[in-house]
Amino acid sequence: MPEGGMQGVRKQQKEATRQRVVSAARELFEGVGYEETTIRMIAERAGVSVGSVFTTFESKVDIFNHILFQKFELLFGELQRIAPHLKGSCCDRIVSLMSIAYGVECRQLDLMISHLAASHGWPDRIEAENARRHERLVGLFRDCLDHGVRAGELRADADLDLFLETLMAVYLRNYRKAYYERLGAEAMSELIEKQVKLIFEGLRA
Amino acid sequence: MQQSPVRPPYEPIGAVAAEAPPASQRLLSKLRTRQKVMTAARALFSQHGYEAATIRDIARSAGMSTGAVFANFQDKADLFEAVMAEDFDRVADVMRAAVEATEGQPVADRLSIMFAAAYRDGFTDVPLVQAAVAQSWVHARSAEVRGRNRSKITTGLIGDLLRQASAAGELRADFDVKLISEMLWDAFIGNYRKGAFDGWTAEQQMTRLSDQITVLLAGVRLR
Repeated sequence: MPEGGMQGVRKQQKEATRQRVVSAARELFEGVGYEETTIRMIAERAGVSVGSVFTTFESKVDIFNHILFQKFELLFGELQRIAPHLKGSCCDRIVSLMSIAYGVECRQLDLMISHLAASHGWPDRIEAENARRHERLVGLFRDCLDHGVRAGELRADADLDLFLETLMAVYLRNYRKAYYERLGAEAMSELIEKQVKLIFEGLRA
Repeated sequence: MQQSPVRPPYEPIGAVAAEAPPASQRLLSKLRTRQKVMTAARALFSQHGYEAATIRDIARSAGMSTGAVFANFQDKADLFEAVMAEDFDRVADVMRAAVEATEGQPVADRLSIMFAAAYRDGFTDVPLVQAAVAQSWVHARSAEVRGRNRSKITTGLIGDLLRQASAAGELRADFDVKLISEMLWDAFIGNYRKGAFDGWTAEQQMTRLSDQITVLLAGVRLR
């Protein structure tokens, strides 16, 4: 008997169910799409009852949110690990970070596309969590810009928030090209480089 | 084309022919049915989103059978695309009108006026735009191709303004017009999220877009 007696067993079982539900859901969200996936399908694939799916997660969107949280942690960890080693101008640094992000997300492109599609119609509480993750990601790019301002590369009076918001809109919309035009991470990197260079012109000191 | 109904042999053909509406009238009533379905569909897609709106609900709301809906549209995706294509045509029209009405003005002003018209009189239903953007990430490749052909019209209009500004010596002569046009369009559409989640009005969306226009044009301005 594991530590904690019967309660420990129950806890372990609950965690095992949770993991089975999450991985089944993830496969379905990637393969069939978020909207088309039902709780019943997830339960069937995970080999658990519909009832036990609902005891581990409130609803389908909460399972999805959990998967997006994992996806984010993976991406953010990778970018954070690389950020201190970046060289070159702040424009180069941002292009490098975004290229790495494209590399990571393009390996699980179907999930990224489901994420982007769902993000236009999910409840406010999920949007709030998504916004917090987005802010942390933007924070990494922001660090590059601050570095550029300190190094005298960028105008000190530039509206960096506005710049970042515009840049992020472009960064995200590029996934359409990854998906519909089957651009690989390499081509995505070239595209974002062109776009970043173009909007950086207006920031230059 | 719908086939004419098969007449039972025992009916006097002449009498039926006299009562049957002429072709143009039949076409007209078919168009009217189509329009009725689209009006009902537009309201339900906007209220419930694409996935939650069902053909059955749309038919009921239009006061007809699901069969009558399917006589006009292949499936829900086809119906949704028809609704959005109508909106897209309207957006292209208001943008085109703005291009013509602002000739000779500075390019940033022209873009602002153009997008303000598109927010105000073009895509006016924020939930519907959100549904369309969501759908555009996951729709069939064939629908994507048609969607792109539609947005080529709007990004083309933006491109016209940029090229004219270039010719007038306001912008550089050698920049990637298509790239900036698409980025401007992305920013325009992206602001609908703020409308949906933060309750921004069309004016607030426009104020933000004006700032974004400044950012996006800064690099190609002649100083």
